Amino acid sequence: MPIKTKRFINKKRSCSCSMPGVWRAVGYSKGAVVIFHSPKACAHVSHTMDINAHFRGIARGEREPYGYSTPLISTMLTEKHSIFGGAKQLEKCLDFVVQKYKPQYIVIANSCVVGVIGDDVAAIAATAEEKFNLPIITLPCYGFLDGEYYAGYYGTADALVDRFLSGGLPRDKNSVILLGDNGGPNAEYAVEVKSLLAYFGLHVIGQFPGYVAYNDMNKVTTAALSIVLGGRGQANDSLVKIAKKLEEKFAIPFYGEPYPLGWQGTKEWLINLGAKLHKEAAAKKAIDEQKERLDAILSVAREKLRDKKIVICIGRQIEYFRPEWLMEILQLSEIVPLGVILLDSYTTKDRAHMEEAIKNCTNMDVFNQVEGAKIVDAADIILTTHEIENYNARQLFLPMLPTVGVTGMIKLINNIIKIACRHGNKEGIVYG
Amino acid sequence: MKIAFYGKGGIGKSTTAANVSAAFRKKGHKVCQIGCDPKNDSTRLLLGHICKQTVLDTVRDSEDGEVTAEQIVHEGFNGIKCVEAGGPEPGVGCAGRGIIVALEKLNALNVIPEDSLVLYDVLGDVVCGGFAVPIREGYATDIYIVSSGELMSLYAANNIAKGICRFAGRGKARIGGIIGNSRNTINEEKLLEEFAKRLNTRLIAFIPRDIIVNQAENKRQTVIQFAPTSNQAKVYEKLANDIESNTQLTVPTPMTFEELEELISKYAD
Repeated sequence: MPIKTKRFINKKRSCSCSMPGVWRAVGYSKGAVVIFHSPKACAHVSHTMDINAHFRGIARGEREPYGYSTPLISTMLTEKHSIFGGAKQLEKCLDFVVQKYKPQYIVIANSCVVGVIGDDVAAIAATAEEKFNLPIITLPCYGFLDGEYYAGYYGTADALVDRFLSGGLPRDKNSVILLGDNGGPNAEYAVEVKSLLAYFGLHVIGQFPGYVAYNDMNKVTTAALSIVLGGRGQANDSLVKIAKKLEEKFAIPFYGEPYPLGWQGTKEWLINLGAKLHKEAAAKKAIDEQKERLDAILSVAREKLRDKKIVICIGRQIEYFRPEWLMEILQLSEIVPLGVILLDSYTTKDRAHMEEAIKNCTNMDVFNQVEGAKIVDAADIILTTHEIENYNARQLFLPMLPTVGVTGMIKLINNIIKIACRHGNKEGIVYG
Repeated sequence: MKIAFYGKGGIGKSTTAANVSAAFRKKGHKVCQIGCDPKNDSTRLLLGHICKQTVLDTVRDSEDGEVTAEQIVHEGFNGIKCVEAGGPEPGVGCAGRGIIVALEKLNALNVIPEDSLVLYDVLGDVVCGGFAVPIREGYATDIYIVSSGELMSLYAANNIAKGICRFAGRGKARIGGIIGNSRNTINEEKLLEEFAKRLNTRLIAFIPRDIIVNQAENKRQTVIQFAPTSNQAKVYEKLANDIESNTQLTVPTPMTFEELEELISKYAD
């Protein structure tokens, strides 16, 4: 039977809008209000992102930071504003926001429409700033026109550093400020990093930029170290720029090593952090204890998954899915999958990148979507980035964000065991 | 007939258009002139004043965006229907988008009678998609470019020819000729004749410079109204006749800038 994915997959490379990046950069910062100088629909997209994040968090049993999210207001530009300019609409919106929300600061994100018609947003913001005696941040990003999500995110974070971080507070010598998002302070990434930092006697004082309240903004400068909660290329690059800026302006050293991903990655992350802090013994202790946790789950996995035929289906671009961590988990669990199927979602170039990455970490056979049908037919479990339709095999939907640290590995292995050990002939999918 | 006048800003499009409209009306045609310029001064000589209620102003001021034909179609000299698209103040918004919206609105309201001769007077150059709409969307089929013998005027005319050429494949818009509006430059008429030839069209009229045009403008009138028996009025009437009988509508062949410079230098002395 040919392999069919449940959702349509597009070979074209995706692009993103800078506006949600702006919102996310202050999305949980108490005191902020974000204005989208845009048609209503642009705000709807970010609002939906917020709601989705909220429910994903609930599904994972995470506590929402402060139970609070930053108000997002749209100037609701319409056709006539695109002709006559939206300046007056923005001025009216600023008046409304100041009266209704009494914010401590405002961030204005510009839409494509504003970029095309050329509203002088910076001048309007400067006048309003004087009128209301309130910091108003504007960014030279215009929706999809220039830059992507991370341009908005980085631009906002950079502006926050310039506007609100002045230093002058005593240093908290064992404190860390986390830089980035990855689901926020109560999500897996930050929680795992916090638990690893405890081995070194470090505590986290906040997560910049999105989760620092206006009143606490300058406390960021009391951190003894900043740690980049990196991820994919663009995110990591922009966060490292912020980390460097904090180092230059406030002498806060930063740790920007690739994050603790997989066992090898976790070990290296701990070793390098230990070396940076001159706490090699703490790093060794952390590695030993984490290894013990990992070994415990691996012995269960080896036993439970011994006879299972596993197939891997990958359809995400290399920026959104690094195969190394998955292959490492399978190797440590002593699982030899029947092969890897690359779904029909790649351009020739993207496919070559993914094949190369796979070959660098395993000697497994790689099939295309048509050839792969035969091994999928024989599989007990499919580990997949895209839901596969019409198959009896049980599926584990591989997470968009890689699982972090040993905790993440344990979670993923447990999920594989869970789907593999379902009673009887039950099919279905587990979301990893 | 659906005609459009294009040409560099300040070259005399509106004056020529208003006089040609007046001449067509005199011949007995029902005429509608539509100004596609945020300055909304195209119909000033026909209305006797600057148009105060443009399509876009009316749309903007209407709570639900709805407008009626009576609000935007004004009656000018000798019963000529006058419409101004309008647009934003200088430096804000997007005038091109305004033209698109205004023409769509006119279309939706069906304000132009089928048997009318329609003359679109379009701002300056084809600077963006909005100003190409009369050509691109088939609002106008016969395009005339008003130009003097000055370099920048010819440069704009050549650009407009590029615009017509670009959209020739998808619509009926063709160039009907170059209307020379004299600035008394050296060898101006000869230069314009060869320029037109190089663009695969012809110089359909050469309008001499005459003080009577300014005198009529100062009185907010066309020359046809102000001095109907004058030689200048006859020039406009002849132009209207020639436009009406013109069958030489072609796809233009624009030049490169270097070719244009070379042509101008040929007639410089």
